[in-house]
This record gives sequence, structure tokens and C-alpha cells, in this order.
Amino acid sequence: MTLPPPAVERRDHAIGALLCVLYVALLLLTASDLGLARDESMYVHAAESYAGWFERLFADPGAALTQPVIDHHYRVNHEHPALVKTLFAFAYLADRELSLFTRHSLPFRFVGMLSAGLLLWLVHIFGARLYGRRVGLFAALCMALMPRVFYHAHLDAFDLPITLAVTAVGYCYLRALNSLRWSVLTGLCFGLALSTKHNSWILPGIFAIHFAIAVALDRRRARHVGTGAVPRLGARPDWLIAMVLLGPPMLVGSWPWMWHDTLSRLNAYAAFHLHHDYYNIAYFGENHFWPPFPISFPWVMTLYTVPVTTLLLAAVGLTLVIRGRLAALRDPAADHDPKQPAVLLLGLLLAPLVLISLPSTPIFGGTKHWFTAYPFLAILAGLGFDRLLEVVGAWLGERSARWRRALPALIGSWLLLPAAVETAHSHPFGLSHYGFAAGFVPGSADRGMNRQFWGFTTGSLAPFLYETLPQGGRVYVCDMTHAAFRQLAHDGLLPDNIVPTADLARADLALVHHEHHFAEVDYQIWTSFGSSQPLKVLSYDGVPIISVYANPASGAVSGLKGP
Amino acid sequence: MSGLASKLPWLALLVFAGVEVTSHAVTRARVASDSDFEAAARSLRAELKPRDLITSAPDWTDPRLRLVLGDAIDLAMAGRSDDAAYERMWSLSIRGARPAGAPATAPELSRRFGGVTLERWSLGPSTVQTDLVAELWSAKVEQLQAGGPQDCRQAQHPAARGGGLGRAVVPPQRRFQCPKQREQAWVGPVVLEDLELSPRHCVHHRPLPGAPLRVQYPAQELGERLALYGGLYYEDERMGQGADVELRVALDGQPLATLKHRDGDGWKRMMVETGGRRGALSFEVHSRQQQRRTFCWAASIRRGEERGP
Repeated sequence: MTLPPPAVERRDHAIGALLCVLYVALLLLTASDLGLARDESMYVHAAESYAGWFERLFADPGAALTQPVIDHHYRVNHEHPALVKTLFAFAYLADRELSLFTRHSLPFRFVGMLSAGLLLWLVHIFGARLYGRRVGLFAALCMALMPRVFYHAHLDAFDLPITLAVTAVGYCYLRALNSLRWSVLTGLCFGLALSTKHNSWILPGIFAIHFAIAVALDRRRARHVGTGAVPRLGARPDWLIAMVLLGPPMLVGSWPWMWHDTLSRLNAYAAFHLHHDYYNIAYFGENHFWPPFPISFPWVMTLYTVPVTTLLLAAVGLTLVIRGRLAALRDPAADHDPKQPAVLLLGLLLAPLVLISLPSTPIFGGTKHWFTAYPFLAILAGLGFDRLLEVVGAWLGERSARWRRALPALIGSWLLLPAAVETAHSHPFGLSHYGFAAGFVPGSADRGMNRQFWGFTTGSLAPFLYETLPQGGRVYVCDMTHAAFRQLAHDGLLPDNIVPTADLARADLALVHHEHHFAEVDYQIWTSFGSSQPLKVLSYDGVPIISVYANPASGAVSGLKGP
Repeated sequence: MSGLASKLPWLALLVFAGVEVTSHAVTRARVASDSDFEAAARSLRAELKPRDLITSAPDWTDPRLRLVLGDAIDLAMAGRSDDAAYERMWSLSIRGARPAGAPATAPELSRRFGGVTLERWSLGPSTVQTDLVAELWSAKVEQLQAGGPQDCRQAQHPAARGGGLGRAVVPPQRRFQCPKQREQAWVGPVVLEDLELSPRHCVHHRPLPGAPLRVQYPAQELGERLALYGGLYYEDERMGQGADVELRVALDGQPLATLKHRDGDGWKRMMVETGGRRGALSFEVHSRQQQRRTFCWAASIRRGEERGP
């Protein structure tokens, strides 16, 4: 007999909701430690522009819907769909009217934080529905306690929203295999995913492969069981019909930029991402800037940045599901879940990693581009944890009865401890953090790994800048955008008389974010200032993150270090 | 499988969580503090001599080294092509690392300051008689043109604007500025990012087809050898698509040597025997391509036995 899938009860949603609320609260409490990252500053700009369009829409709908007005407001950052930035805009407008947040950047960031919280909820429900509550809860905690995920969860960016959207589409699709209602929901969620980020483009392909396998195995079983057995899965892909019918219209509908010149703009959008620029990325001491990129990159970076205990548990979970599938293949008549959820898990886990492994895929953005794989990695880790609990319970035998309630919490806490400690310590240097396999942060520097990107670590220097430029001054901000730097003042972390400049000669202080290719800027400063001596080096576990140089021609720098 | 053997992988998994947490704590506890670097720097300063080289290991600690000893590390040291100008090597190292270029022998001095180890090696007598980058201001710079050479005047200029990725080098305030093609037609000491992203203290001297620049030094004793180094800015060289660049060296107007640089060569070295002669050295840089050929060279007159690159 097929085991019925574990029931998801109200209690599971209560657990998910609690995880969501606690995680969002934690993110809100720690957000001010992080300076705005490059891309965030662009999305803030876009969201403010979109907010302007909505105000115009309410004031004068006829004018707002004309192409010149739409283009004026939506030209900014038109290489990404509008949905998430629209949510940023709504949060910004709500904050402006209701003063909901304590800092200017928080309404923009809140959408990403909420996505991260909802993702934990969904991972719990997904895991619980497939393998039980224990698996779901442990998986959600594993997801929360990945240092890089914790960093990105703070940001007004698309990476957590798209991870949430892809996971939601996967969840709906699995339920859609025997439900028309869930097929419609799959289409709707796919529309949201398409409107969030282009990572979603690969979903129909993953589902199609899974569907073919699931239907074929189901048909095979029916043949082997014999007379009277009928396939349990329908061969008509209602989910695909819904995705095709609902997805693209939702993308275009949520994105006013596409309302005029639709085809040419859709083409331009696709072309931008299919022929993306290449950026610099340091990997094992080499600065990669042009294809072919190393195939090993996403695999090694996952190994180096996800807590290894979590990865080992996921390896146990992976072994269990592969072993289970192989056993099912050997016995075609065996009863099993016709939806083949393990196959889907593997597809959703591996596809993003394989895609980034292609030598022609531009590599930038560290690990965030395959975050969509991590919920499924976390569910496998939950499965590994569950199996470990069973084994330990069997060892304890009769004695385990006394421990039955405490054992999951004790062992779960123990296994999550490395992830919790590393995530706590990674803040506010999330992109500089590396784990056990890399030899932690100093080990990653020995290996010549990328140390950061986007210039957000400048936020950690705010108190120093404030002290060093008591009368204000100009700061050459290197990899940070000027808008992101000015946000430090908007957020009350710097006075507004400390301003960014792109000009080394006019700068009172010059920053260098230590990434391999920024060595050029370091040397330009040495030449300009006539000295290689920094005034300060911001370090993380002893590894230089930012060097700050004082311009000898400046009179604004307080406490200038003499020879 | 026996009972214990079947339990081992699961036990190992449980134990591993403890190993991961503990090794994280140990790694953090072993991080060398700023005060460790400062203490090591104080000890070094007390014994610092001219021709001492100061370095650190692993190389990523370099900003922390320059924070505490940057005033003793001039641009020539920070952007050195080799160690020939130095007679002793000091190193501030962490985690047992050994500085690049350290002799294979044990250090003659070794002291611990918390997480930092201060070490010193003797390198032997310096072979550098004259550093021609340091002596650049004694040279005359001209732009060669159809109507005859034009003088490029040495002067203090307003600080150059800008900076950032793709800018290659920022012109130093003190430089030789030539009258034509002013943006590129200047000669001066800079620190260039080479193909390995390493700093190179060198003379910025671009090829300008049709109007090349010539750097001419006064007559001097030429020692036994002339050490030549040359290379291009990282972004100009990394695609491997640019035209070759030649650094042509003449002695009293007669060709002495040509360092031919091809994209991919990186910071290229060449030794030229000069046989103890006396004369005036001049340097010209040629290429059929002008754009994306940010070339820089370093040279020194040497005597005595070479210690190797």
C-alpha cells in the first residue's frame, strides 16, 4: 500500500508562522549593521521611481498609462521584472504615510526579509508534507542558518523572493499532479516567479523531465500489477497548460515597461540575460573575468559556505532518496508515491547548480544565484536528521522512551549548533564568511577566494568615518555606489556632510574593498597619495576587508597617523 | 556489518558537529590581533637598517603589515620587481606561513608576538648600484616628432582627477608632461597593476606611434649589468589581443637591448651585460598600437653576483 503523505496540520502552519515572525524580527534587528549593497541602491532608486508612477496613476490614470510616462518611471532597472520592486515601492509608500519603520532603507528591505520568513514557513510545510514535521522543522532551521542566506535575507533584492517563488511553484506543481485546483495555483505561482526573476525560466523544463519520469514509472507499475490496475497519474499536464496560460500574462501584466513595444522589450529582456556581461570573480587565487568559467565553482562554493554538518546530513538524505528510488526501480510492481517527490527534489536541487556550472554561464554574485537549490538541500538535511534520530532511538532501545520527547530537540540543537554559531559570527560580513571546508575565513584567504562584492562592508566603517571626519568630508567609496553611501546618512548612520566622491584627488579618505581586481585602485591610491600606508584596515577574522587611506592633502582628517 | 561498525558513520556524524564548532572557535582564537602586529612592528623598528626589506606572509596580510609599518615601506619596496636592492629581509607572518622569496635557510632571528612571528633573514650584499626609477628626475624626457624632438617638462601638476577600475594608473602630480597627446604623453613613476595583479613601481611610458617618448639619463657608470623589467596594465594585457610592445634601450645612442613584450608575458625580466662601461642610457617604448597599451618599465644598474629573481 502507498503510505499516505504525512498530514500537514494547523500546528504545522503555526510552527511555520512562528519561524517566519521570529526570522523577520531577527533580520529587522540586525539590518542596520549592513550598509546598502550596490544592487540594493539601484532597486531603491527603481522602487522610488515606480512609487512615483503609482502616485501618478491615482492622480491622473489616463496620463499614467501613456508610454512616455510609463517609460519615464520604468526605464530605470528595466532589465529585471517589476513585481518585487513594485512591492518595495508599496512598502516605501506605506512607510511614508504611516511611519512604520525606523530607518529609511527598511521598507525596501522588509520585502526581502518577509520573503525569507515566508520561505522558512514554506520549507517547513514542504518538508513536513513529504516526510513529516520533524523533517520540515529541521529543514527550515537549516535554511535559516546558512550564513550567506542570512546575509541576503536582509536585502532589498530578488534572491530571497525568487527562492520563495521557485519553492512555491515546486510545491504547487507536486500537488498539481492530481489536482486541477493546484494546477491553477501552479500557473499563478509560476507567474509570480516569472515576474520576480529569470531563475524561473528553467522550471517548466525541470517539471517536464520529472513529469515524464513519474508518468512512465506509474504506467510501468500499472502494467506489472496486472489486470484492473490503472495509472494513478493523468497524462495530461494541466500544470503546464496553467503555467503557459497564466505565467507570461502575469509577467507582462505586472510590468508596465512591457505594456508598449511588448515583443521587442521581451526580446531585449531575454537577450540581456542570455548574453549577460561578465564580471570579475576570484576563485582559488585566479581572477576569472571571461569564459570558460570553472565548472566546479557552484559545488565548491556550496561546500565552502554552507555549514558542513548541514551538508553531511543532506548527503545522508540524498543517499536515502536515491536508495529508495533504486529499490523502486528494481521492483516495478512495488507501491510507491506515483508523484515521485524524491525525483522532483533532486531536479530542483541540481538544476540551478548544473546551470551555473556551465562554463559559459557568467559567474558573479557568489552563491546567491543558486539559492533556489537550498530549500531542497535543507529538506534532504532534514531527512538525514530524521534518519539519524531513528538510528539513535534504536540504539537507546527501551531507554529511548524516556528520551523520546527530548531526543529530537537535543540532537537537533547539537546538529544545528555549527550552523547557528557560523551564521551569528558571519554577521555583518556574510559575503566574506567561509566555513569549515575552506578553513574558515583565514583559510579562504589562503586559498584566494572571493572576499566580498557590492561594497556593502562600508557600512561597518560608519563609526570610524564619523570619528575621522568630525567636520565632514569626502570619501572615495570604491565598489560602493554613491547612492548606497548616501543611504548611510538617510539611515542616520553617518552625518550628511560626509559625502561620496569618485575623485581620489578630492577625497579626504579613500577606501579599497579587498577583492582581487580592486588591487588596481589600491595602487592608484598609493601613487596619488605617495604612500602605501592605510589609516585603517577593517578586518574580519584577521582578513583585510577594507583599507582606508587618508589623503595627505586633506585638512579634514582627524588624528592622522604620522610616521 | 558488526553493531559497532554500523554505528560508526552515525557516531561520526554526531561527533563532526562538535569538530566543526570547535575548529571554528580555535580558528577565531588564533587570529592575530592588531596589537600583535603593532608589537612585532615595534620590535622591528628598533633594529631597522637601510636596505632592509619588510614583508609579510601569507601575502593577504599585506594591508595589515602596511598599517603598522607602511611609513617604512616606500613605493619602491611595495612595488619591487625583485629583492636585489635589499640586504636583509624582515617578515611578519601568521599561521606558520613563509614569505615569498625568503632564503631556504632558517631565519637568523625569530620572535613571537601573540599570533605574529617576526623573522629576519640575511640576503647578502645588494647588487643594485643605481635604481633608474628612483633616478628618473635626473633624466631628460623628449617627444620625438617629425619636426624634431620636443622637450617634456618636469613639473608639479594639479592632482589628477578620477580613479577607479579600468583607469589603469593615475598620473602622479610630479611628472614629465609632453606637449602633444597630453593624456597619454607623460612619463612618471607610478605603481602599476600587472598581469598577476601585483604592484609594480615603475616608469609609466606608453608607446605613442609617430611621436614616441624618449627618456635619456645623463652619462654614468654602468656596472656589470642592466636589469630591465617591463609590463602592461592588467586589463590591457589579460585578453591577449594587443600588439607587442618593445622597450628599446640605447647606450650613447647605439642600440643596447630590446625587451620585447607580448601579451601574456606579464612582468617581464631581462638582464643585459654592460661590461663596466660608462655612458648615457636612453629608453624608448614602441608599438604599432597606442590604445590599451599602458606600459611601464623598471630598470636598475647592477654589479656583483646576482642572487636570482
